[in-house]
Amino acid sequence: METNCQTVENCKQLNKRNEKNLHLKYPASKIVSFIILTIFCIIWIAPFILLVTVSLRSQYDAMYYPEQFLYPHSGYSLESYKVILFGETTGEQHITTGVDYVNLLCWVLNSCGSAIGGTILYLIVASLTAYAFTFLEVKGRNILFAIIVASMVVPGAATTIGNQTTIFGLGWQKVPLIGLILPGLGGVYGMYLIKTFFGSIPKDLVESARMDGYSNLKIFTKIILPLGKTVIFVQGLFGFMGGWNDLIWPQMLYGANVNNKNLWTLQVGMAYMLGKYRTGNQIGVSLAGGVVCIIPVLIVYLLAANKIVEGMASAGVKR
Amino acid sequence: MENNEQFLDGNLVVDDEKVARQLLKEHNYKVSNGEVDSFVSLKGINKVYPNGVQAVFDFNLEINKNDFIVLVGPSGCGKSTTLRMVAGLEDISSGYLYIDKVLSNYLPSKSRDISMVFQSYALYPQMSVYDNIAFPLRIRKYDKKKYDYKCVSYKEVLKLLTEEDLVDSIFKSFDKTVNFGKPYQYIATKYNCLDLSAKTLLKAVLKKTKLQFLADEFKNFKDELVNEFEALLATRLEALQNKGNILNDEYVYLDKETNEEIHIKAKLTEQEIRNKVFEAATILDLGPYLDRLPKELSGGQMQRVALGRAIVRNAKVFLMDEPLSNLDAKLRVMMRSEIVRIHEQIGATTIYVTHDQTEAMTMATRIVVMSKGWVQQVGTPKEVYSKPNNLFVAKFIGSPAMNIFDGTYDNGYVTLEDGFKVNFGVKFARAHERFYTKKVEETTRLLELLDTDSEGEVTRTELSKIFSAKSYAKNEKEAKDIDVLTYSKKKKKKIFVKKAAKGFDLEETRNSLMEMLEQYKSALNGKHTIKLGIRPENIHVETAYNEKDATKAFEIEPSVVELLGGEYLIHATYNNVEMIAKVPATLDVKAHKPVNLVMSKSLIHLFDEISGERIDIDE
Amino acid sequence: MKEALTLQEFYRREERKKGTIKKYGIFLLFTLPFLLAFLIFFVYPLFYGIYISFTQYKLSYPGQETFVGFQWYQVLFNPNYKIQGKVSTFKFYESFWRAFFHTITFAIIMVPIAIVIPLALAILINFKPPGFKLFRCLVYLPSIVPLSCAGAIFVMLFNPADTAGVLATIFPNTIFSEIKWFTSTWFSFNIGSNVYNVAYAWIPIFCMCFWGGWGGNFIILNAGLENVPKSLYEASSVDGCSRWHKILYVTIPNIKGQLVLCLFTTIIGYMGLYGQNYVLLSGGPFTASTLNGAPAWGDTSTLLYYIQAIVDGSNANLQAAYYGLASAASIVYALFVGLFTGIQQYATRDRKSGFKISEEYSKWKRIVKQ
Repeated sequence: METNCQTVENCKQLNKRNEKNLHLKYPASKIVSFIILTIFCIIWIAPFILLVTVSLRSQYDAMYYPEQFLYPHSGYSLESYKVILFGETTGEQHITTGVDYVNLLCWVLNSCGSAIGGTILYLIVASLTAYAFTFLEVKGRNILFAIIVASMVVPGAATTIGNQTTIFGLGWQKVPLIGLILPGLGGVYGMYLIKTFFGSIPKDLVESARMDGYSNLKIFTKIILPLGKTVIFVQGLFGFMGGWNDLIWPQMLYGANVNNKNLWTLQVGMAYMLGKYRTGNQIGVSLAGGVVCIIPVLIVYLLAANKIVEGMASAGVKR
Repeated sequence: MENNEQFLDGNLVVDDEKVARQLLKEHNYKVSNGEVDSFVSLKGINKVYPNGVQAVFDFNLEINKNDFIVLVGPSGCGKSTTLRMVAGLEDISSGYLYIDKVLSNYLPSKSRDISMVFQSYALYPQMSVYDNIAFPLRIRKYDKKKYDYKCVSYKEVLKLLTEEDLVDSIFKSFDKTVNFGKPYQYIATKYNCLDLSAKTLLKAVLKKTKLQFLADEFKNFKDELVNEFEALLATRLEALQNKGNILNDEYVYLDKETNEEIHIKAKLTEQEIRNKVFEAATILDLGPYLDRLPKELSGGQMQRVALGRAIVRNAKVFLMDEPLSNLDAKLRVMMRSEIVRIHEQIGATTIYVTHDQTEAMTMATRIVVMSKGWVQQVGTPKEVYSKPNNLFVAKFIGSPAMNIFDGTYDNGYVTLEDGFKVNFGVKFARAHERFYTKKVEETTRLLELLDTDSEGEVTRTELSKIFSAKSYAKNEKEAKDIDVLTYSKKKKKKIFVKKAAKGFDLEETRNSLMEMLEQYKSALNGKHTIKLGIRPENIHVETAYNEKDATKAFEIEPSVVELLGGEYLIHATYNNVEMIAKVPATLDVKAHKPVNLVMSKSLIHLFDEISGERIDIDE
Repeated sequence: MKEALTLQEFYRREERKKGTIKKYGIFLLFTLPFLLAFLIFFVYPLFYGIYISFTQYKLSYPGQETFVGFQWYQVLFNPNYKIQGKVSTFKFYESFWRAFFHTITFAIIMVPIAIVIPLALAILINFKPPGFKLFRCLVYLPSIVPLSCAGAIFVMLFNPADTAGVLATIFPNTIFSEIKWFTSTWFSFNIGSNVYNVAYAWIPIFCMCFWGGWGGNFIILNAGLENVPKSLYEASSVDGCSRWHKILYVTIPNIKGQLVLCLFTTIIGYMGLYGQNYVLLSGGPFTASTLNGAPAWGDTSTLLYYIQAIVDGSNANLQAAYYGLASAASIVYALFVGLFTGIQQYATRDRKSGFKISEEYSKWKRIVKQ
């Protein structure tokens, strides 16, 4: 009972001091981490915001009032985008593009073809291979797989030279897309991921299907693929993002070919534009190009962010 | 452990809060209560989660030293939660927890002087078994007396010099097949002295002569050495006294004013750690596994390492959270006896949580049966087995479970559905009357309390208990609506106010209580339904049982007869209940062959249907 | 005398052979596209590249190369080498090792940062503050930005004030506006008789890598942290660990697998630094005039830049005459990477348990029993 004379045990002070977390849903650690993360994320995302706002300003503005990003001097304008998309020049500042508008469309199509087409092909090839390495008992299979996995250590640069000579020898630098897609089919990372996942499917399923008389192809399409939907989907996302974002390989393949820019992918084209439009009044053009580059990937990421994050996470944990 | 005198006495009455705050701060918030006389004491412990669900209701238990307490119950009954509250891994919502007279509600786990074995063993995967066991010893500072180690070492050297086989030992120290480490470690281990002493001795001896000539020349310089060290000891003592230090006979520093031994908090030396770990390894038979990493161990071995880590600190209380559930059946039986053996050898107070009633019965000195957050019964295994408090305990303890039949009571006679009648006599009739009179009184009192709307904690708690107990007797489904209690911030004290859960409000409580009152009253006056319980081993085949105790015979047709080796388990349907009887295997029983059975009347239990409690003849 | 076969035995052997052939056939069918691509675009180029490094290869006339032995390797490792006794290749030697030096230094600075910062963030996210899923996505977001886009952003940020760089105009009269990030030199030091200019341009490169370079590490470490069993933390509480002890003894050892993976991929990634430099500065600024004409002679060149400068044909003379050199350089680069990852794997290998302690124990027991 509450009276003025209390035993020390009943003293509220004793209760209060250590009771703080009893009914709190948010103990100290969560609050502190929330604050730090918020500050961090604001600084982190600032470049994106800059990207979008500066690309939406007129050239004159960007040159003379670069610090006013949220309330630009002469309001927003789509100048830079017009330059990128349609090859227009603006009256005031005489920006010559030297870039035919047709090129942008070509570039986007090339990127799409390489990213989407390449990814789909790769998924088919890699999942078939992963199936074979998991469920087809063949002598020497494990040794072969070990060799393939060991090749992951070799950095890409060691094979670039040889690849380039092969491909130039085949004349593929004059042909769109093929040189971008076919070499990627030998990539080990994705196949390794899919195989690890297949390894966790209980072999009993496959064996009972075999006893029922299913052929291997049927087992693959009817049993394994549905089970592996998630990992294949995630791998597909990664493949798409990687294919879309890739700069180095297409650059090497088609980059020197300044005369036939139609073969370029979007990234190569934008890097070229950045090289030309770097300084103040033209930076908006490069940024607009950047926005165009990033939009598809951004959309994919925002739609499937959680899946992507979890896919990467499971890849790391399974190691 | 620190003296209790450094703790604040919790029973001190203070005039106002400021003084209380001051006192608490001085004593570092450590409070003890001299009036608590058991070793571990839980008083009125409740656990309420922030979302309002209450997991443990009014847990009271007094644990004496060297007790082996087992908390047993089905999953979700609150036993693990209670254990974790004692451990400090969960906050105690209300109530008092005393460990060795110290109020421990708010102490962090590491200050409570407890050890815990987890269900998943929780071994550090990157450390060897040796390091795992040594970890709690390395990470803390322990209370040690402040010795002057130099003096101690001189004294020990003097003692060593009088040992007969000293020369032999010195030779053995350098023998790699016998000694496990540095030379001085052999001597230190054999004669149980400090590493420092052994080191000093060896250094002094080897200064005088080389190892080869030791055997011959030792006698020569032995006296020299004795004198030398005595001189060293004396000089040092004098030097220390000149600086103003006081030492007692064991060379412990004494406090100048109070003349008491000074204690300091220091880390254990490697020698001490090694000795303790090796001792634990001896008890648990872990010698060959000391280098291995946890991933290279089997389940039973990991279990023993977890036990080793717990016993190596000689903590006051051992807590074990279902340690045997991850082992296979045979290993479980083996480890059960291991744990009991260790408990007897070390003599530590243990609180053990399990859902397996066999483990509880075989290992405990006292069992606490819990269900749905309430303590159902506390008692020795024998008590819990032969005198269960209510239907739940009766059905839970014992394997195979007790058979429960519905019957009607009429003035000393209980009749089952098929007409089988048992006469319990006048003594039981009186016990029956006492029981129901008491029940009527209790219910009337509760009704009165409800009416006057006094908000004592007792009322709510008792109400909840009654309603949750009621559910066992009749229909388990009813319990769901009633069990939710929550914390009310409006009152300054902590009381438990019923959440506005659907189906429970004052009106309905009153109605339910009145209904119960009517039922109790009618039980006093006339016939009423009752539950009859009999354990399988107390049902016998008529032809083989000739005691006076036997009831009349009844015939059943066994549906299945299982041979357990020395016994038969007869399964049959009797009075719409799946009955099991355990009879010796020497008898001739076969499935589908009708047989006559009798029950031992003195071992029949009768339970009140409304509350589920047992009607005790000898009350 | 040949063994006489029964019909049954013969049938059994035939079936077994056919079965094996059939199994291999199906296996091959499933894996053919992958194996073909693997062979053609990985194994073959690897060996072909090694072959090229020993020849005077001409891209436009494959098959007509002349074998020159270790010439290119001598160019890379011998400063005084002269091709055929006449042409000095010193500048190739020097620009290669400069590029190497740039790469190694940057990797040493960047790799620890790319592991510690994601770890700290993962620990913060592990406290599960409200909205942690959103934070997780936001932290990973910059990692999906393509190089050209990120390059545009950082060019915009770091441009000097007269060309409307954003940082320069927001913070006038501070270091941001006064330094010409992309062109000027930070400090120089001398090694022997050579002057090395460290360009300010490394700062934008650093920022670009810091922004988009470790998202993957973050995700992997976050997943690793979540998989640490909670009972281990509780056990360490009961044992007496403070918060720092817990991080040291429970958290970090249990994510060791993830940490090793991150270390592995990060080292390989930063040794192959190329795209950022290319996009921001094309390998410049080009201050050391003595090296004019050598591949990758700029102040922000890296190893990969050296190889690409020759190979991608932007400088036709280089491509024609020094193709083999590029190949040799790529082989040396692969060997370096292999060396570093080998060291790293060895240093972080799993301990094998021995018998030391159990032997100590048995001896101890015998001593005590006496």
